[in-house]
Amino acid sequence: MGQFLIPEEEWSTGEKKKFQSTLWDASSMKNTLDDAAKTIFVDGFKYKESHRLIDGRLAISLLACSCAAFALVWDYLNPFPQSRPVLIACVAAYYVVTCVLTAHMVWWEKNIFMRAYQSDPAGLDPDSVWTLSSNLPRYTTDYTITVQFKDGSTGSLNEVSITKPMSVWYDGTGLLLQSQYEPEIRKLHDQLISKKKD
Amino acid sequence: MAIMDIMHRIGLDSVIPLDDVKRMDKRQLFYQVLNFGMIVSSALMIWKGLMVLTGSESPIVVVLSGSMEPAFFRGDLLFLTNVEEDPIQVGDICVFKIKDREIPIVHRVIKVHQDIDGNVKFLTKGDNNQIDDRGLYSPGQMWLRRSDVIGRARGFVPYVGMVTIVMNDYPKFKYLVLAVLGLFVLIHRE
Repeated sequence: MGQFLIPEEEWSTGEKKKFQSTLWDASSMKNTLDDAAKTIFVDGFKYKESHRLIDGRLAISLLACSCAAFALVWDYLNPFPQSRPVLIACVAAYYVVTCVLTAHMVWWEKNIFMRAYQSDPAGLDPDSVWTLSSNLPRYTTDYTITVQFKDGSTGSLNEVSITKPMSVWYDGTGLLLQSQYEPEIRKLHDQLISKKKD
Repeated sequence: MAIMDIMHRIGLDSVIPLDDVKRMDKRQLFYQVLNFGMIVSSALMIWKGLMVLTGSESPIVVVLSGSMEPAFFRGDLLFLTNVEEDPIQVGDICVFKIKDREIPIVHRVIKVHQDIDGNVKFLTKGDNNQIDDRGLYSPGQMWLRRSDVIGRARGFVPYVGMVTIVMNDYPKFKYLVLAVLGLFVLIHRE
């Protein structure tokens, strides 16, 4: 096994480069960094990813779109003046659901883009939870990634983070360099593992 | 995905950034579609909300002809309200639809008759027309009723409606613009 958790072919060689981003596009580069960190944790360390957060967002969005679709169909079947009460209800419902969605994204999800479970090898304690969140403020290139570890057996919460300008991890074509990024993420992971042992 | 391969083959992925899309899993792709749906839904809800607020089935209309010059020109955007309680008076600018015809007409009320029961009938004429609208009404129809009226003009924005007129004259252009916008929403990740 080579020095990397993720096989090199998967990361950067071959025709379909997995972690290729669009140079100069800050959000594309941030998304690539997030996806790469997620791949390291889920495919590399083999933790089990939890989809609760994004499923919640999908469900609320789906509910909002259904309100709108229902209003559309009802109004088509019963032309305007008759459909007034239903339309009022749908517009109010849509507004409420959209507010719930915003609340979900601001308070529940925050900047979290991955949550994964590490099961106890002995099978005794409940799963430990790894949470990754990241932040890229506007008009800067300083990317902050935070890894949080909640120990299943003790319940204690620990986190470490690192902030660097994104350019240190990318090459001139916008390809994320495995040799630069993977060791950083693994270092954060190992720091938390060693804290757990203390 | 097949679409990605086609776009790669014709070189389109150097123009449109597809890297983010290639990497998306099922849930993220579904979220992109829902995002598009949310934008469409928001526009729809704003429109329906306006309908409810103004009481009119078409709260915003575009002036299509020059029959109301110099008050309104072709391409002006009109804001309508349709409050049932306000009686229609001579001089009001009404937007009405003739039965079985799609296109609303924006003209001024010139005669109003009311019978003992309160039923109203009225006659309209465009300011810039020589004759009244009886030639435009359905065969045999001499007057308009309250139910024909979609609303009364309460405010307007000049020129903006030209976009709608162009889109309707060249439907292919409209579909192209919508397709391109839709594509960008679907591909762009937060």
